[in-house]
Amino acid sequence: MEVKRFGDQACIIGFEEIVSTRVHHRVMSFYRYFVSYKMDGITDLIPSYNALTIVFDPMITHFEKLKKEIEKVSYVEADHVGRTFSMPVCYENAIDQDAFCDATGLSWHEIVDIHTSNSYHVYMVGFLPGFLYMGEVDKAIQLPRKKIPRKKVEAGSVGIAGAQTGVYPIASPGGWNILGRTPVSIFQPAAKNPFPIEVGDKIIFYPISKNDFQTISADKGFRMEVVGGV
Amino acid sequence: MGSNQLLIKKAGLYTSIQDLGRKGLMNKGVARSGVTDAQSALLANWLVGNSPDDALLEITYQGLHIRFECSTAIAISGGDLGAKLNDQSVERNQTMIVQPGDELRFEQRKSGFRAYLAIAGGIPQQAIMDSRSTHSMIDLGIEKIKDGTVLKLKPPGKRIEQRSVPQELRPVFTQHFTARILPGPEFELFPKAYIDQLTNQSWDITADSNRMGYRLKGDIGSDQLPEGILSSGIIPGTIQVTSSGQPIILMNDGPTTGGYARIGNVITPDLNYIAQLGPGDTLRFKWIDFPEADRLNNQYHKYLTL
Repeated sequence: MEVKRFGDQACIIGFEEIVSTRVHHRVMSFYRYFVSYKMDGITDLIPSYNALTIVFDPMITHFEKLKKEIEKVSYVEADHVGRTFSMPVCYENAIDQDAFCDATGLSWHEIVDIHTSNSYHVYMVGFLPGFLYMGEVDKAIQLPRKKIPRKKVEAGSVGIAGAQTGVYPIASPGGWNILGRTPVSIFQPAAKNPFPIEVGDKIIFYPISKNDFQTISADKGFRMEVVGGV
Repeated sequence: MGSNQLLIKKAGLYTSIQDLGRKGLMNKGVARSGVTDAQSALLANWLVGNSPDDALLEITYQGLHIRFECSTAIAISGGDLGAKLNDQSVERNQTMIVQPGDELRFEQRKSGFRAYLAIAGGIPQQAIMDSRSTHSMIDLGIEKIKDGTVLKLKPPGKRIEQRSVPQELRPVFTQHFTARILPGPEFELFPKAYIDQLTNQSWDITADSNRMGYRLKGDIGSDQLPEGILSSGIIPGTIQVTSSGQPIILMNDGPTTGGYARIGNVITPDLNYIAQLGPGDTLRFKWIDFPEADRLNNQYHKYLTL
């Protein structure tokens, strides 16, 4: 573990440069410490795969003070359990279905089967408000980013980039290969809780039909089932 | 009897409602947004008796044309975009009173790139996620400024005292700026020649520079760039180097995470001046160390609380 200054109003707690839930749990232990401690002067926390970025107001606190606080946090090996959400995805007529079948040599049915048989850990929320970076995707269905990003990917699109799978919260340009779409809105700016899913949670995808997609889209009261965690 | 509102007759190149931005949501991928030249925005709000976090208009380049439908106090600060009130040039950095029917236009950029228009009482928009700041690329639900937009204002309250920013405290904007920078987290992964190249030349601001980020023309070298990193936090002021070697300075609407190597960070006080550069203007960098940055920040905050 290493603590580095990052500009004049932030610092980074960095760990090994690998994607693993073990490393991420360490990030999350510091993240949760500072979330619950609410130290004066901390304005933002950005947890990522192997680092926690802490943004502070240099008028209220300073790096040396933060560093002392970071050194106090004792890492407890206990595995904090995030929630596990069950997220419906319509895999019918996915825009990159052919790309997936061509690249993997698998049938679409097999690809959907593999994508829905794992639970995915949310390592990071970034890029867009509520964009979920999750892992890890089975090697058999990994596809790299598109060379030329699409100008527009629809809200709710579920994609794959290497070992990562992700969900687009809003329509946006995007370079991930898209294999389905969820009717669940994972970002509602005007809602009391705009983000139902957080870093550290897990997601299990399950396939739904086009009809189910329409029904859930229209159902404002739809909530994802929480199948695990607290 | 006019109503307490103003009419946007022409929105100009880009005008948006901003305050000091959103805090505490970068963990959800939400950018800070907010005024890009905070120093100028604070002056404008102060001039009309507002609190520092009241919403105002950030005006880019030129073309904004407003009609006031009520009497109120206003102030313009930031870049000189050739403001005229009923065809008379007006001075920036002082309180002005407008009457119903008065028209304010920003006709021609003379210095800087962004002006701030504060109105007594602020712009009473519904806050979204605790802020009235617009994100230039993502529709969060804050009113967009378009031709024909009507903005409700607060009824004029107590008498506003006439204020003026002392001449020596007024920021000056030129078409060239030297930004002071600190070594970034991946600084050591860059070859020395590449690091030197960042400060050895004057960089042109490209036309695709905006509230997300400033893209500089050219590269620092391209053959021996460090590999990308695992995506990690980035903040306004972070200088990323793309896979072609092009430096990008992240601004207020930029993403909260990224995978390009971060060679440096612009110090906070200097970001205000970068925001006042437009396409074709030039920028140089100068390395400083952390103690120097802390000293400059203290000075800056003393200035802000004058």
